[in-house]
Amino acid sequence: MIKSVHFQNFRALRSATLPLERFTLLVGPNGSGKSTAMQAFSFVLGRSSFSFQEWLTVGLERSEVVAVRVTWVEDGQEFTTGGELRSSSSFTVREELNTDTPPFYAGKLRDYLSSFRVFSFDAKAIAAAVETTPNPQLGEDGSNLAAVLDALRDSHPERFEELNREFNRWLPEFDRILFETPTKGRKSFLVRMAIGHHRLRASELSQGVLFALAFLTLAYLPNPPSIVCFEEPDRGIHPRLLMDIRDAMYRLAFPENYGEKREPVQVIATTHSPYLLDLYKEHPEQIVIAHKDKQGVHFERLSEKPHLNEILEGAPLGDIWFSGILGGVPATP
Amino acid sequence: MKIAVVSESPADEAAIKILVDAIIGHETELVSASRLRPGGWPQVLNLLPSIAKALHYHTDAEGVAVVVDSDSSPVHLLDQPANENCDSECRLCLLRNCLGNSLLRVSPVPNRASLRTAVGLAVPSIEAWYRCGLDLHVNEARWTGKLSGERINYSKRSLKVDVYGSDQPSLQAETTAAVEAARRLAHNMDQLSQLFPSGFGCFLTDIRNWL
Repeated sequence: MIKSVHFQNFRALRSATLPLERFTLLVGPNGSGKSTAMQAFSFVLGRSSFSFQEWLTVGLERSEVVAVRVTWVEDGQEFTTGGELRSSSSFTVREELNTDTPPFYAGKLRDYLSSFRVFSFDAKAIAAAVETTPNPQLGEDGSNLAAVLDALRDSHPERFEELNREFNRWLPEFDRILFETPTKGRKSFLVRMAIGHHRLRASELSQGVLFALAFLTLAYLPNPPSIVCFEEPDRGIHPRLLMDIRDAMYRLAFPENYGEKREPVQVIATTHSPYLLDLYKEHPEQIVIAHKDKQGVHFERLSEKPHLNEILEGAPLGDIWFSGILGGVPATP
Repeated sequence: MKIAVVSESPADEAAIKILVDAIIGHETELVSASRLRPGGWPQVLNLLPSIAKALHYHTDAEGVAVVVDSDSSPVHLLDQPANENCDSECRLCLLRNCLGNSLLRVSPVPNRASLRTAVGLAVPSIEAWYRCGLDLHVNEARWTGKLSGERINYSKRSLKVDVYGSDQPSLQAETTAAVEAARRLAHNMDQLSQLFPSGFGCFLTDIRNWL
């Protein structure tokens, strides 16, 4: 599991350390580096096409270094790795293994980071008919969902049935996911109405229904990515369904609590929704606030605020955050 | 002096800060955590304990000024025994007690004095204060009469139209008008206190007690 990520001169993140848990909910004003932080893993793997100037914090001299350092814990051991970028040289990966740490962990971390996905769903992409290919993967915008669901039905029918039941529990008007072949070699999905068994094409479904189905599908995959980020998982979702969205994310992060035998997924979610934040009041260690002020951006785990229980007593966490007293709100208005 | 302002909107906050500075006689500094936006009345009351405790534990604020609109709630009765609500619905009493109780329960912080408090009640809304000096018919006594069934020639909505030119002003227009009004009132505190003896008078006394 990644324990923290330190940023130096990394776009909006001049000098900041993002602490992470198995599940982390990141809140903060617009432009506070939440999305930027999610680019860290691509940076460390040297996969970004951005130039030095595009990474460097605005206003800094070209002599500065852009760096990201990832601290990882595995089998009770901790080590760091990172990437640096200088204007005068090409990208370099720097690994700083602790003494006695078997070197193969570095490769393991690279594999771990390689599976990182930032999901920001798009209704049209989710609903689109797709080509059927072996071992389909869900795209970061939710594309390929039809193929992923089809593969789940064929390879893991019991999971697919469970997903159908859960989909019906979330949205009782629908009782089943169905498929059709619009043209040769392509697949799309439909949902069946619980009453009357009418079929609705994916393109006829609302944005919220499509997002909910994409979430559920990820949560029920037998081998999801090792680390995922959800940008605003509350988007398009009715506030009353947010508890189910939280549980879908928890299913990924804490599989043992849901009868799953697979490895946990490290989940990072960003939100501006006080309603979603309310659901984490009992777990302030899972909440990180991005503060943006004259000194720049810095991250603070909510549970590290002194006297937190006294302050949170008697009022919804989302409302308290919105009031601004915990920080992580826009400077104006 | 570092202070925090708790109010119902950013426009109100800007105006209240000007009034506080005028009462104190010099410019105060808002603490960094003072971009407080609890929202409307129920949120202010619900969140005030959390805000007061966070100001005590996490900031170096010396005072907190809280101002809300009375809307249709009763006007505060003066000369009320300490720690007794003049009316179970009186927002000024509710806020005072809420602040007092919250701050009674905090643990001491080394090198930190108690947070000073000031509560104001704008009757029926802060736009009534902004009309002071422009329309003498707008005052607490008249509004109290309205609450008893008398007919008066203004309402919360008409006050907005009078102050902003619209009952749906943009935030920018609201802030500009609020700041302009507060700057004018800063030179006319006596009249504001005479026309609004409970809601503003109490606020004025609270702030003066900080000095």
